[in-house]
Amino acid sequence: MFLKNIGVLGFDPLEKVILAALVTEEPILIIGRPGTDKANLLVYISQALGLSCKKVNAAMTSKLEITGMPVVKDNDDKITFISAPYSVWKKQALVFDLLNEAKPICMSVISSILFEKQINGYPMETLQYRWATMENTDLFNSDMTAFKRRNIYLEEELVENFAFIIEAPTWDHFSVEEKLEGFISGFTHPVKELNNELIAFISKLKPLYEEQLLFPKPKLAAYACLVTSLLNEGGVYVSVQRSLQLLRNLVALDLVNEHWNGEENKDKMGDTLLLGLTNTLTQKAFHENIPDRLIQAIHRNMMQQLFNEKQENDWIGIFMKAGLTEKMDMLFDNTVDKDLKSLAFIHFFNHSTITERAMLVFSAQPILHRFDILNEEAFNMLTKCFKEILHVDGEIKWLEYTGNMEKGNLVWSNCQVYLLTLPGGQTSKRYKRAYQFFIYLMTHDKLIIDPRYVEEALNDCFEKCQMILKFRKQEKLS
Amino acid sequence: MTNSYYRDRQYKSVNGFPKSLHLSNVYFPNEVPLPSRVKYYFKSSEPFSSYEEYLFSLIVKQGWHSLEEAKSMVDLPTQSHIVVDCKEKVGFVFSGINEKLVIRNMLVLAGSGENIYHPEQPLIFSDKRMNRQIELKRIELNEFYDLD
Repeated sequence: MFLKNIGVLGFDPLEKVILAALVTEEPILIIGRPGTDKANLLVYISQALGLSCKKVNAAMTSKLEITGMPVVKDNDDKITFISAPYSVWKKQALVFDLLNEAKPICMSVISSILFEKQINGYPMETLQYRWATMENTDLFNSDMTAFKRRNIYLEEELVENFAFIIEAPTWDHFSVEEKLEGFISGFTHPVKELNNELIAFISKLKPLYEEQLLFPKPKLAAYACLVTSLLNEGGVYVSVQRSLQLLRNLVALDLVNEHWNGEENKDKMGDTLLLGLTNTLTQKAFHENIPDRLIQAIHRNMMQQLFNEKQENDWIGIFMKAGLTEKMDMLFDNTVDKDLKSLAFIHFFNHSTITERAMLVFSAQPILHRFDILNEEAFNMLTKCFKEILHVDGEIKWLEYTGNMEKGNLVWSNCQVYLLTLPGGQTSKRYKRAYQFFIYLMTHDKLIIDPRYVEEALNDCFEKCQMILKFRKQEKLS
Repeated sequence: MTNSYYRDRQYKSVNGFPKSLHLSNVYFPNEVPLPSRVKYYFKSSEPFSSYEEYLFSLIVKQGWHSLEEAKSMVDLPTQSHIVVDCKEKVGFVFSGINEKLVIRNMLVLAGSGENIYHPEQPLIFSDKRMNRQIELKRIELNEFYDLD
């Protein structure tokens, strides 16, 4: 939302992470292939935030170039640095491009700027954002003979200090609209204006973040703690410091998600936590591939333990196992997506007995229709069956010779006998619908062994629908 | 006399009871009276090349300027209904008698799928849709669920 407005494309899935990094003011490491605009990301954001920003090519720079010339003043123990336009002293945002290619002599200065906001013990008071980039480790040349001779992995201790470690999107990550929009705007065409919305958003969240750091939500803390344990058990090393960093990241991401404009763009808690977890792990800076399925499995396990969250795939399973009246409750659950309900209904329709299917359809079609619960495909299926039940015109075939010629079809006779026992007689609604249901089943070659059991189940379904309808009416009135 | 009917008669004469029993019942409680009880069908005595062209010629004859105007003038059902095939077919040709009625029936037939009529559904002028005789039914909830 914000990034697109300032002309940055392709970073949509990571936008919340970037906003969280802006809120926390902690350093982030962007890994990416050449030409992904990773080094310019902070430059564009700084323009939108009205901050002075400098991009430093870590591979080419020297220590003096970063700090400016040191001068010892007369009769003073202090060193001052000659201010030059290229020096970093007064900048509010700094990007160190190609950090992994930096000369060892510069690395101490860069790391003290990145993680301590100081040079040689002198604080950089105006500095807020310190980001760094490195090339994708897939490009590293293991035998060191090709053109990327200086490509070496960053030290683990250094990477541990970055809050987020994200990967810059490549062409495949861009949506079709973004690709088209990119060509129209020339891809590197940021809006060089202040973005007041972004400024307001970040400045609103900063104090809240500081506040929440003191008392993080217990569930976020539990998630960070348990995920660390499980990852370590699964062979993925996560340090204590990294675990605490994960918690800080989750707090920031949770805040960003909470204050995100537009309900439809708000991720569920689970998605936010997974986003935080995947972009906090340091392994991607060392070409160590953690299998996605391991992270997903650990994440799902945690979500079910901590939030009692049922995954969508389980919903269909639960729906299939539920009784008919429970199924109705589930269909009228407003928190479940319409397409998921429809998928579950179609699955049920195709994998249930004719009796079960017909009971649900006969009793619930009118309210499912009225409250627009299912999508078109499922509703057509439902209505086709409903019409067949409402207008029965068929043959009851004699299934076997019973020896009792007087009674004709024994099964149908049993049904008729049971129908006469129903309260209210032949004029009651219950009698009429049971009669209709029996003749539907009979004409579809369904043997009704126990008419009482079938009729009572059908009546339960109708009573459930009555309750739902009454409840909905009351809800509407109130 | 069909062969199956003959076989059934023979079965009854040998075994003393019929082989099968025909059952028929319609359970449409308290349908919404009008226009859902109206049978929608279309048959024209005049030759025409396509349904759309014929419909537009009728619309122009009425002095209307668009399909939307026609829709608003002919009292189309405003809510979604269940589409049911008429069991008793109407045999006569009625175009030319009441062109407004012809327009309405054409619009309803084109807007009715196999099972559902919805006023906002796109109109499809296919032979399959237009050569049906249908009724639109709408279930009255209180009546169906026996509520006050």
